[in-house]
Amino acid sequence: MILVAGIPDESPTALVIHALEAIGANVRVFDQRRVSSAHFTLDIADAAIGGAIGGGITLDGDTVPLADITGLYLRVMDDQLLPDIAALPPDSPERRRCHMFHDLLQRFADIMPGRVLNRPADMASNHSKPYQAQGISAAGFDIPDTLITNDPSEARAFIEQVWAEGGDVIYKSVSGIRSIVQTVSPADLARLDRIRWCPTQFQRLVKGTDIRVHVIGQTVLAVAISSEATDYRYAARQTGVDATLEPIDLDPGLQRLCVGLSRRFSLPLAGIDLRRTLEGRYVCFEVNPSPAFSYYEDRADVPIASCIARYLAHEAD
Amino acid sequence: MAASVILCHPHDAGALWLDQMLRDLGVRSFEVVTVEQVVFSRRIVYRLSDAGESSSIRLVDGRELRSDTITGLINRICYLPTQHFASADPDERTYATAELSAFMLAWLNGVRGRVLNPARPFSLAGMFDRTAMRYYAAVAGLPTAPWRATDSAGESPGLPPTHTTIVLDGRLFGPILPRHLQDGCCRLAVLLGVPLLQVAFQRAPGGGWRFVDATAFVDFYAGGRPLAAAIARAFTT
Repeated sequence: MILVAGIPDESPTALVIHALEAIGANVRVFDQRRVSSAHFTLDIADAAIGGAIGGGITLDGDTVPLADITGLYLRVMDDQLLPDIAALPPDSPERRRCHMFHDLLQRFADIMPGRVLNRPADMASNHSKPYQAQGISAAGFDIPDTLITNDPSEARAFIEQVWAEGGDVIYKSVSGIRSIVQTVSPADLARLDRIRWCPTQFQRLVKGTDIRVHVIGQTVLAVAISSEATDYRYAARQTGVDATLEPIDLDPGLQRLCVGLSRRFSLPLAGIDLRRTLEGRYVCFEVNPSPAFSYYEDRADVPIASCIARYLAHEAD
Repeated sequence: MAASVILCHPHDAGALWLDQMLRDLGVRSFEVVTVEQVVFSRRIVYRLSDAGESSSIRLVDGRELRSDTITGLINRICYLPTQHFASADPDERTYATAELSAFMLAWLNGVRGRVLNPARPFSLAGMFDRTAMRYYAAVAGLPTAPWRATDSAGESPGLPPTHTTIVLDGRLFGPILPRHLQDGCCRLAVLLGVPLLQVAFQRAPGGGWRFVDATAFVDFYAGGRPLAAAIARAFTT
């Protein structure tokens, strides 16, 4: 049985549910908005039977044994932001129970046997872009020149050097929060004193064609993106013109690098952000462990949800 | 400064004891640096490119932590000090704390020498969730009790420990335990991927043993002088 956990009508989750149903998989859905009618029990047996995992998840009165779950697609939002929960007082028993439910679900996802897209402990790598960049570089991809500093003079020197070489500099979060990419402008130099409070990330802008690669197990699906925006996801907002996307085939060597990268981070489902430079190099920026793949599936007609379903159902490696 | 670093909080008595014990053993290659000194540094510079990475953190006492001179690190981070964000509004504080944590993870991961214990994306201290710890303890063959947690009633209560042992690189320090427990502790450290691990047990009046808990944040004092000497060797061999 395959469990899908999240908001069922959120696009990626809806596509996965539909794809699982299309292949006739035995699928159950945990709708976070209905957590008040759900319950979770997690058992770990004693060492004599090897710490077997037991317990169950009760959805609308029907209890599914955890031992029956062979696949899990996990795309949950912060439980404390669920509208019904956010409206409760901070110390309300239902808020605490909701949090414990989600905590147990995530702990189960970390240790359950079977296929999980993705395990929460492994998804945490995306909380630090430079940590990911260390792994990306070790996996064989190029990475952009990066400076993280709280020293305005170092930031200024980096920016002015890149400008002197005819390039541009972008700044973006070090963590996974507020990860909208912005280009540094001359006016920003006057604001550099603000970085004294917290190290800030600057990168040499890499020019080229954006490529989004989705790895699902051993399967690689790539999409090329054409856009004039610094961050193509916000192209309409940044330039007034939306991005255009088309599916492409990557050469086998690059496909192997992408699969190797997702394995390095223990992420059988990964959204890898590449840029093909004008010189033909592939620079990698990030490995997204919970990709909002519907954006790419809808616009480039790539069967990502179908591949996810087949992976979860053990129909594909 | 060219040295191995004991990175700890100012009130970490175990880390300060280890520093003193290492000096008593004649080891002069360690320096204590507090997490607060790093976080509150007015000059943090970290560079990453295809050519590699480098970092420089100037501490308030004048020392400079450079990536090319840190030969190893004992990681004792329990939390990130964020007093300097205290006056920011809650959203900004959350954001700045996440940024700082993200930087610290990369900085720790970039130390070229040995790190005990390495930071993990889910924990700067390299700690594991207690459920995973209990599960892997059972898989390692340690005598765990059945455990249950529910969303409404919480977790099974824990047992008070009577014995604590410390694993470092497959060697045990502390009280002598039965062989099967020693082997299980070493297997648990391997399963968790942590070279340094403290494991607690309860011995019942009838003589039976129960696994209680394990932590990557060890009490150096419990391992005594032999553990300190082994840590010194771990950073020199």
